[in-house]
Amino acid sequence: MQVVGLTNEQEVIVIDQARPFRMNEYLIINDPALDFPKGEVVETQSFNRFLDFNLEKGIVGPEVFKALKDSLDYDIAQHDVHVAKVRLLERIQVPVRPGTDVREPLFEEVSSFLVKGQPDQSLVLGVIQATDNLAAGMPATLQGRARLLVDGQVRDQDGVPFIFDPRAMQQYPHIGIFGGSGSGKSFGLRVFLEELMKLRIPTLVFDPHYELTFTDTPANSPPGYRDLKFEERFKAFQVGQDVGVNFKDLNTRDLLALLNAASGLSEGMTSAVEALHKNHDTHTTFSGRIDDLVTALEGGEGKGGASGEARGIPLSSVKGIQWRLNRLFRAGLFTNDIKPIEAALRAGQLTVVQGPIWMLNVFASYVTGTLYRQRRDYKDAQFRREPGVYFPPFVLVTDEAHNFAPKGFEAPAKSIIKEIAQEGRKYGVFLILATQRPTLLDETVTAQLNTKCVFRTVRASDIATIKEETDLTHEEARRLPFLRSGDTFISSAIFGRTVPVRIRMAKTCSPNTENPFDELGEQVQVQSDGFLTTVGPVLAKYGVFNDAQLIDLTRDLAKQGHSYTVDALRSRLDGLVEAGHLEKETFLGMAQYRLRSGA
Amino acid sequence: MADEWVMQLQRLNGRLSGELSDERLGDRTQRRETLRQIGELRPLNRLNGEALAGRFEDRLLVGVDGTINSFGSHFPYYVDFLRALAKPSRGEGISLKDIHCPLPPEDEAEAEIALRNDNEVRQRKLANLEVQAALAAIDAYRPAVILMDGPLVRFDMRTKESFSILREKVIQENILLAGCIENIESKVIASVMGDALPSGWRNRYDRDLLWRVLDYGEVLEVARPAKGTARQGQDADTATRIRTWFMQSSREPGVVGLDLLEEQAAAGVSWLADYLFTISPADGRGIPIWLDLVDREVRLTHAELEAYVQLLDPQVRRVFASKRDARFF
Repeated sequence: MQVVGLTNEQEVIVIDQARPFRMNEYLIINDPALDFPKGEVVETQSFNRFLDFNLEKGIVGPEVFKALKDSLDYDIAQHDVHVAKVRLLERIQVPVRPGTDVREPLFEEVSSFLVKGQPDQSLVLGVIQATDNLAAGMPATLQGRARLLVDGQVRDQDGVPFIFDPRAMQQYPHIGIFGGSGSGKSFGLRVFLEELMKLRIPTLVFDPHYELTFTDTPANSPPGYRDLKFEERFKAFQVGQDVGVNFKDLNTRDLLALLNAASGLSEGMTSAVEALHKNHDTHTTFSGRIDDLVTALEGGEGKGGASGEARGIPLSSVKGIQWRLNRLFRAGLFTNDIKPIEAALRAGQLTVVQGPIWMLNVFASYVTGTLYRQRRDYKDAQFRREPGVYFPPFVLVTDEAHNFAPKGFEAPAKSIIKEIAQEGRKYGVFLILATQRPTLLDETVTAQLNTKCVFRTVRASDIATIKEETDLTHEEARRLPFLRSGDTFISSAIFGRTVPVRIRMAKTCSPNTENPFDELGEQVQVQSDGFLTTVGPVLAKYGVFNDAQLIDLTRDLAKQGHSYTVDALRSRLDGLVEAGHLEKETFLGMAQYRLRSGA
Repeated sequence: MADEWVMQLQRLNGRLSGELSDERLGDRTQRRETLRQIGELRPLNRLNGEALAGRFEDRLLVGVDGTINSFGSHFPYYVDFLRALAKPSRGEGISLKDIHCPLPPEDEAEAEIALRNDNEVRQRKLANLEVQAALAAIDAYRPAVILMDGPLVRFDMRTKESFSILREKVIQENILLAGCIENIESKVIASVMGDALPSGWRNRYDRDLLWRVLDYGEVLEVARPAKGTARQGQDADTATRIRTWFMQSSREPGVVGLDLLEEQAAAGVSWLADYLFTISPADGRGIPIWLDLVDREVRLTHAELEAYVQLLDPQVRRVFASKRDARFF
């Protein structure tokens, strides 16, 4: 391997005849005067001077080279020349000299670029791509840290593990995970969460997809790979069922947000709520007040005890509020509180809050605001050297983050997420925001994400956003639509550059992975089996029967409480024919059915 | 006023079209019949799989080619860089180099003679260099086949002594020696058949007689030698005799020649024609790919030439530098 052509202080061209270069592989320019600059392959090409592309000269067919190979064992590939564009990892003062020897590095020569943490105290997220040749020289602590899933096959770790030290977040806070459907984004998020559980970092997760539980193990998971009892390290709560809002804690603004989330509020309704809601209202007192007012307004002037201040509020607005309040109540939002969440976080557990997205958004705003305040109050008190109630630092995680902090319009949780994005690190509260639409995520928030994992992205506008918000090069951005599922570029201020990583195989899997279409097929089977049990005995009595007898059959079945029209029965019978329980012959236009033996 | 070139070209057409007309040779079927009188006209076999695997066993194929690059262009102010390469199918190969420069002339008269002959002098040097490379390759690799670029008779005429050694050596060591001729300039058919040829055929070039007569993938295995000469003091029996076969080994019209030593051709080497056909690209010039590879490797690039020229002292280099290089256009 040697440097050729025009060089500069940032990039060189390296050629080799022995083997092709791999994207993102590390190389060392063997020049002691420059202190052995290290570089990363950013573009690769191969060339064979005997396999020129020249349409005018004609093309040598592959059979000619095959004949040389067969007769003389002569391989034209020995003339391959492999070319790599290598970007230097550090700036140097003068260009590299052409002709300088280039070699593969030893692990310790590049370890400072690759490993930025202790695996036991950090998130081990996957394997840095094209580092397999360095793996042999790694210390034992880095070996066997991750397995990979490639085309459905489990593979051992084949390179340097990608290690993310959460401590570094104090300086470079917050993580974004971007990628379209099927890009491996959800698995990537799962691996992050598994690693947070490994370190027992209190984590609050909003899960609108009901998929972030950690009880199930993937079917192809190798024995012993699931090394932790994740089921003990996480708790899942459903909004309305397990957790809810303590109505007393709500101020008017929160209440408005909640009602608005149930269904959009009109201006009249908003001012009605502002007029009617009092501090320290419970659900009972507030809803009672609304109900009374409705009765009063419906009953007409002079009747009932509607308070004076409520006069002038139109009935339609009050009814609107009543309807919304009932919707939230029926969803169970006011029957519980967030104590279980607080307790789980204090216990260092990963706390998953599940719910429909409309409710989760409001709930997230409420619960995050409350918990963040607790943490902030504690830290502020500590700062003022006053006693305070301890609340632990925590990580806030959400998928579909663009729904929580959208660009261009308001959402209930947006202001608290923005606040954490901007000053959360001061209090030890960090964000992990996953979305498939980074373009739709609030820009202030995006700008604060110091580490971004970019999975396969196809949409041009999202690629443009990613290019703007990361240090991905033009070539890397060009590869984004074609990344394999599970491959990601991690652009991090901690590393100071973009690292290509294959996310490790998850140790757990989501529970609801049954394909809805498989489910349909199963239901059809269940129904057809049910039908057979019902009609089987009656059919057995007939043995062989034809179309004309179907009317008798419906009568017999009706006697047993199963009513079918002739047409419906015929179509169900045809279903049994397809399933192989019945034989059907058509003779002179008349269908004849025969029960199959054994059916 | 008519263009002088146009008039002259029209006259040339009139003169040559009668002489070179295909009509004088008869139709294609008749021509093929006539050719069958001097040898077998057969389809070539494209070898594959086992036929290929067993053919060389563990021995090699060596291709030999030479090249001349010049620095300076006006006699006697030039330096020729001669290089011959014998490239084996496995291993580094033998590369021989030589320099030729007509300077300094001994005297005026000698310079005059050299001016007329100097091209021949360097061609002899090159031919010798190629034969030496082939000889060295025999010692180094003992190949099964040596393919020379160009007719064997070129070596027989230009470097008779060393070619005789090569010839004896290949016969003795049972190495097939062949020359591949891209541009046939011979009159093999005319000389083999002599008066037996139809009148319109006599004294015409092989290239002309064979134009579009063979189908793609056919060979004319001429049954008798037509070329070769005796060394001084050698009797006719031990003189070099060379047989030339003609192959339509590519889809381009026009055949290529295959020169073989009479001793080896007589022993039956039809497989070699089949093999060379197999390794000739259908859309190429009709010569085996191996010679293309050798040619590509032996050639000196402009940059290499420039680098070597820098080794000349500046005052010496100045002598060779041509004003041509300083032209504006």
